Amino acid sequence: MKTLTFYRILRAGWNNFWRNRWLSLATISVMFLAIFSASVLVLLNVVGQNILTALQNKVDVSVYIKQEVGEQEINKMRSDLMFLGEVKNVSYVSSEEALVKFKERHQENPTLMESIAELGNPLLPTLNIEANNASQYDAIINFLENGKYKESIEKINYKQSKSLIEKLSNFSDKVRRSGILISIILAVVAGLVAFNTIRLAMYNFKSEVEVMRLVGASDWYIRGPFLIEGVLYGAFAAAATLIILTPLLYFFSPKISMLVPNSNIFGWYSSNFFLLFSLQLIFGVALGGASSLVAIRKYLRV
Amino acid sequence: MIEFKNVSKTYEINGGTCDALSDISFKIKAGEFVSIAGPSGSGKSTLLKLILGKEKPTSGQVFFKNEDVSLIPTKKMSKLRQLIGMVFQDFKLLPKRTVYENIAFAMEMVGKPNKEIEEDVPQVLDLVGLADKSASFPNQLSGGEKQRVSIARALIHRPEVILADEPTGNLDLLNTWDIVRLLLKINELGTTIILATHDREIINNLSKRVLTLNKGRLIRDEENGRYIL
Repeated sequence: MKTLTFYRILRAGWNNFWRNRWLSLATISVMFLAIFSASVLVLLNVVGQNILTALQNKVDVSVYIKQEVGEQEINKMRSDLMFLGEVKNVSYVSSEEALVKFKERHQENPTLMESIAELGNPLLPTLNIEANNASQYDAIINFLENGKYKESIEKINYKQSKSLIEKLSNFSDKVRRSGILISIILAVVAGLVAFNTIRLAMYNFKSEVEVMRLVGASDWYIRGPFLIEGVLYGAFAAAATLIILTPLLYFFSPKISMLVPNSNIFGWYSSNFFLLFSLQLIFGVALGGASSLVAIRKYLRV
Repeated sequence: MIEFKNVSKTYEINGGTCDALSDISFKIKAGEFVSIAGPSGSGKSTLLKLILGKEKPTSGQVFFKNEDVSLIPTKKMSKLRQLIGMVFQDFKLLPKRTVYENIAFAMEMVGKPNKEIEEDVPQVLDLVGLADKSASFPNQLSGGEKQRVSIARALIHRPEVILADEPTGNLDLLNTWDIVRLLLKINELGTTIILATHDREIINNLSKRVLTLNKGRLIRDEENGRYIL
């Protein structure tokens, strides 16, 4: 009995939806835009996070050591650093090695080579430190700047990349915030469009609704189909997002990977497919359902 | 079964007021056939709407089976309307559904199972004499046939009362008598009938109880009544 009632309401809702298919299509399109933009926002966020982690992993601290500090002292410093829990690896580049590399790199630049020959070796020996985790660099630097090796150090090259990371994370924050704003605006517009479509459907079904009341249809027999209609808009919009987003990501993921190494966006999408789709579905269904509920409350006197 | 106690109904129109019914009191017993006579605008439709709970009285009370209709919550309203079948001058059939579907629709709307629908609809169509028209659409029927479909639909819930609001208003003489005879037959089967009409011929030939309304007032209530203004 209950399932029969539900089935009939469902069928009536589907009929409302299908008989107005052009209007339904327009509503779905606007809802699709809202869901699509929210999904893109999520993906952008993932890419942004990828870039940030990639950058943070790339960061290492170069410690330039004063010319006068001896090899022994440097080795001691290196083993002390290795002893720190935060440190993953420390590599030593002596000033001679640095010079060889420098010369290799600038072979084609005679002016530079000449001045190097004249100056002798101006390059400082360096220790390159890699931390286990990007957030641990501050602790390492703190150790160097305030510890016993303070005097041996000429300069620590970290602050520059730090500001780059900060800029980037600021930027991705801004993208996220404007994305949320755009998504909200689109969601409101989509809600209004769905509301109006259902209002029109109610107008179209005026005589049906009147007869329903006349023959003693229960509240939900009259309201249910319109609610189903709204929910269908949301579900179809979520499905449309899925159908359009998947190939789009499939084609663009390699291109994004070229710009941002290690960002397999399609891979992320496939592994989070069900989560993402359920979120889209919930978002769409909630939006459509809420719009029809408002329309029902406002215009459908039972 | 139905009782009006000092019922008045006032509509507000463009800031002014219009008295549709003033201080009406009467009782109708189960199984009666009552005609409500009166010219257009005398308050016949308003009276029927009050029984159906579509309108609430401005003052006074309307009782259906000892229950004050204006106090019935919206949720129970659908139950009330299943006990009252309604027939209109303009039939109110759904144009895109066949005769069969129009009646089945009424049963679907109250959650009747398919099996019961398949049994009951042919029966009721047989009763109103339209067994052979069940696959026709309303626009393929004559006015009289449409009204019989609408009566069949009103009967499908086995109501205790049928309210007929000018059911013959759009029909020619022959069809009019068909419908009236059908209503009499339904009444003989035990259903209370309340027939609102301004058709002098019908009322004078029925020799049943007549309530006569004029300008919202009940001016006459007689058994074997005639249409006299």
